[in-house]
Amino acid sequence: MAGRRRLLLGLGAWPWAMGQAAPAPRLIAATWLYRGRYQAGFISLGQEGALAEAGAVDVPTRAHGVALTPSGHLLAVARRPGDWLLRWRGPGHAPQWGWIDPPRSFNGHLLASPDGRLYTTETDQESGLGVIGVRDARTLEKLDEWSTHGADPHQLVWDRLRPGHLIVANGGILTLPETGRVKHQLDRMDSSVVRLDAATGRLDGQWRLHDPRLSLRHLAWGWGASQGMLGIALQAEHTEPVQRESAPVLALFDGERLQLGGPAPQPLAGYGGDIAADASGFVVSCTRAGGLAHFTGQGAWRAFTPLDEAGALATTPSAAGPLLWAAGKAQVLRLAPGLPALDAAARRIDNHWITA
Amino acid sequence: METAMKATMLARRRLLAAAVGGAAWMVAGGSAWAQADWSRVAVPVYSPADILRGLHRFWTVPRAQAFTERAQSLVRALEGTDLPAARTAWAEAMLAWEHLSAVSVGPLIERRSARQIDFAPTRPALVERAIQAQPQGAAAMEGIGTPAQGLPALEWLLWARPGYLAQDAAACRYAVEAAAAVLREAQALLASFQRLAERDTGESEAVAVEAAAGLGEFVNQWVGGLERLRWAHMEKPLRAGRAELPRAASGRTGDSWMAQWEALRTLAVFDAGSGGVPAPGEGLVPLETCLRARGLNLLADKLVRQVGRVSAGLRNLPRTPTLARLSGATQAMAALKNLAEAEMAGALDVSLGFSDADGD
Repeated sequence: MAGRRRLLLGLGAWPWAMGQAAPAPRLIAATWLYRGRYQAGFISLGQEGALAEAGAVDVPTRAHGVALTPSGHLLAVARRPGDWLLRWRGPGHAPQWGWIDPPRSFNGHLLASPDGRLYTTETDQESGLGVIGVRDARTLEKLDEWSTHGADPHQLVWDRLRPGHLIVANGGILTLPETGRVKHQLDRMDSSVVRLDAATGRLDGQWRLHDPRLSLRHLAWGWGASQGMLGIALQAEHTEPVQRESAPVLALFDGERLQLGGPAPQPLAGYGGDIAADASGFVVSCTRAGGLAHFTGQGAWRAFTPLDEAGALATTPSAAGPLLWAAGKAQVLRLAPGLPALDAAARRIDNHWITA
Repeated sequence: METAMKATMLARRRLLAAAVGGAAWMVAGGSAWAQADWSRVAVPVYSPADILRGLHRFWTVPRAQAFTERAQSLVRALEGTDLPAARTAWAEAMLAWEHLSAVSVGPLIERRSARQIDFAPTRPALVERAIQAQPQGAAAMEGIGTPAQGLPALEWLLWARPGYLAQDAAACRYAVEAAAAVLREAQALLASFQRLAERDTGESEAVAVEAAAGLGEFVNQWVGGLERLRWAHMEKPLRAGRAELPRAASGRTGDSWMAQWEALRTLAVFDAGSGGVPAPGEGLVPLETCLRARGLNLLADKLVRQVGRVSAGLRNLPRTPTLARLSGATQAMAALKNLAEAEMAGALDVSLGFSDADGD
């Protein structure tokens, strides 16, 4: 316990936050369900056998996305349509809450900037259109908001190719506050990725796939030779189950063109829950197909790794490139030879986690 | 695919009919039903169309009728000069609305009626601007933003600014117009629910598919209504600490919660005083009875027990509730939601959009 506390007390002084060389990561920031309670917190790495929690706080409803501020605070946001935002330094510290009121709701993802801003994806419930909330990452108060030029904005990341810009995935699905995540007017879906100026919100480009029933939702930049490629995990909304079952789960964006990844030799149930990059390309967690779909950095099919209810993906550095951590229903896979699966220790890890 | 679905439904009907075959219909009074040994009671097989017909004929239409009547009374009361009478009429209309909207199905969703009738928070500045604008009639009220309309705006006028209604003729006229807008929406809802209740319920595949979707919506919205009550109406205002509890100005917060819970409870568990399980289409079929009709008595018993825990938790709430004082009720509600998501929805062949079990 004392060791854990010392570990967590050190969070605020992580060297990477100060521009020094990144040390070996020690923690994963995540949200999970544990004995009927939704929690956000940290998981200590380096343990064998089972996941080891390194501090957690109860959250009021199911959480979705997580982020870390440069000062080492955990940020977590409610799942869409959500109404709370958490900022937490760790054990021994009181959680700080931010709230959002109608007609705005959180969409489940957020991004912290080095200069103390926080970007949240939100929906204007009156119009159904997407909004980026610009907040003070310390107070969580909203400073500004910008249009995402679409509906249902989901994940957002920094644009590696054009510094000072954001890439936002508009999922394109209309939902109503009265019906939660029930999807409406799927025949009028309009999913896109947009590039926004991170200082002003000005639109600097918008791209769509040909198939309007593919929702662009989760984003990860490539690694090594693919570092200029953005992988995008898709979720299919076709009416016909057969079409949905065989739908692609990966799209790629090179800064100028948005296109689908290559075909998979097996059905992936049209559902990509999360995406990460490893040394060989992109990995998409296919929750409903029960495994991980591996693609090259150019989107060609590589392999499938079974994992029941595959969800959250994160990577840590290793000599061979990023080491992938994949959370499933009851266990966590570390995708490297000789590393056994870890028991999830009764924690149902949510869709996303990140290494600290 | 539809043919396969129909074959599956027919096979299920035969299976369930066999499960209850040979058992006699129980004829008993309320007390006997409360003690019923459900393993020996013949519960009819209900198709989704039967369940929806019962829902609309015996729940949504009567509730919409009651709300329309209360809205009419509210308009009349606001046309008069008796403030206590107007407040009473508002409270009765509000409670009728809570009953109807606790599980928002069909036209409540399609028309987005909650936005028209119950948008919160009210924006006082917009209400004052609307009073100055002096809108008259439906077309003029369409130009008034929802934050200045509906029951919350009327609550603000009646309790936070009663002086307006006593001294300002323009405010009085606006209150009547706002209540009339509520009445128009209530009448539109009633007409829509009546059409649903009278809809053809033949045996066609199209009817079966539509009814299955309607049943899915009902179960989804029941879960959503439960979560809205637990979190949005009870826990969140107290945790966030910056917004008043719903209906706080009128002092009707607890009544509002209980009205919603009463609706959720009635739609969940069999009423032992109702005289017996209804024949298909001849009465409200609550979720418990849907489960028993499928032979799922153990799950139905779990549902009844958990509903009972929520009711117990909501008993004797203090006038000024605190998070600690509410925790028994809200924890029981969270457990009920988990039960509905983890076991009940699947048992009823319903996929939950509100579920916490899927991805995003």
